[in-house]
Amino acid sequence: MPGFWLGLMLILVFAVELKGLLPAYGSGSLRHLILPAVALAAAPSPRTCASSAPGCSRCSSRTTSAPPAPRGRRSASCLYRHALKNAALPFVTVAGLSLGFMLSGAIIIETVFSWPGLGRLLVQAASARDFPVIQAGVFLFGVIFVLVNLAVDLLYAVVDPQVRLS
Amino acid sequence: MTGAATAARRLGRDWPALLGLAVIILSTVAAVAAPALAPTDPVKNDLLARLTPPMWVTGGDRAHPLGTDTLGRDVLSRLLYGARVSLVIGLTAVVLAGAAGVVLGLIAGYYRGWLDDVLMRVGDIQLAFPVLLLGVALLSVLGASLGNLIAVLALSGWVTYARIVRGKRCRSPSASSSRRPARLGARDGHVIRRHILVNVWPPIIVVATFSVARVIIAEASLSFLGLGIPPPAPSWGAMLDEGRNYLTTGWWLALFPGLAILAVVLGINLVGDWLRDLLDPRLERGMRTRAPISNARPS
Repeated sequence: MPGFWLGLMLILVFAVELKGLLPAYGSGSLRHLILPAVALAAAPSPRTCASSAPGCSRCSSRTTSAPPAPRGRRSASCLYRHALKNAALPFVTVAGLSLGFMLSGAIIIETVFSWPGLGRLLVQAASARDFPVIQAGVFLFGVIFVLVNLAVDLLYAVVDPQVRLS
Repeated sequence: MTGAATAARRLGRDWPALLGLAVIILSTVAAVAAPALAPTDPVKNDLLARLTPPMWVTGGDRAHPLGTDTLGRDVLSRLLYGARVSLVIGLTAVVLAGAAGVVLGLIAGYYRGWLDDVLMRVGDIQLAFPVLLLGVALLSVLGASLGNLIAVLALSGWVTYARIVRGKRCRSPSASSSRRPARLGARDGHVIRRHILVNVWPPIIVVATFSVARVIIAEASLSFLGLGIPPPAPSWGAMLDEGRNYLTTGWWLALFPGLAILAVVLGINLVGDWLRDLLDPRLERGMRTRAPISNARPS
């Protein structure tokens, strides 16, 4: 599903049909953040889910999380402490990548919700043929993308004990 | 023939794939037969009939089954003609990207050397750059037209194919077997055609199928931003953009183009899933998206 269409439908339901339950556009309060965030998160979330599910199910059937369960731990704490830890590695990879690609998703979503951000600035500059702003915007996006990937690589060391930084 | 028969039998049991195939056939028919199916001319204005709701809503008109937009243009007609734009751009961009990717991948994988390094590093740079960002930057400089749109979308896709071809070539246990005919005196073209290409086409077909869906969404996104094919030509993304400003008065303007994109993309993905299971069960789900940057580095 294209995220921007979901955004339009969210506006239609929550701002138009439900008589302004949530603001349709602009920024200012946390309430303004809800619809754009949901629309932007909807696209990569199945991938995040699919990538962490095998880790969870694999661990929960294995010995790592099996012992605490017979010892009387609640299944929720069992899941958090043991399964989630093991499923974190693919999750970090995918989440990091999604964060990068959300930057390009934000170009669209910011336009849908009239959110005054970098993406919308870029689109407005493109339609106004304001080339210096386009260059600066594209460069900034590139820098952010690289930094996010660097952060993900560094996070590996935290999540996966097999990875050493030096 | 037994292979085709097995494929057909598997398709019969796989209802999501059948559904996907039905959607693809339906949208192709709609695109090809748009002039015959469309109730009116997609660019004809009728200001007296502007913002007519779909026919099952009170105030609707049977002449406009899905209503009209702000200039009185028939939404159904524009959707049918918009299918042409989406499918033509989707298929052309993927075929171009696939052809370029396979050729460059072959060159990189077969001849190796510095050319391989250069091509793959260029590919890495390409992958680090979001498609939409590239599209916005290039199209705003080059100007929006059908040709430029296809070029930008094809440019963003070739790396995946090049990597598959090159990777298959390097990884396959027959890496030596494809060198052997060369030592026996076969010419390069012969070796590439008879020994390498036959091994790479299944994953290429699968990735290309998913790419069509990806490109259609990218095209809709760029059109939505006003960087698609210029108006008044109907495009699903541009129709969404027009509908955005009339959400409170004309919900049908934004609903139907979105549903059309959703249906076509879902259909292609379902068929792609089926093709993947059929042709190359080992191909990971992740191939549909780009390879992680951190995995791209030689270890």
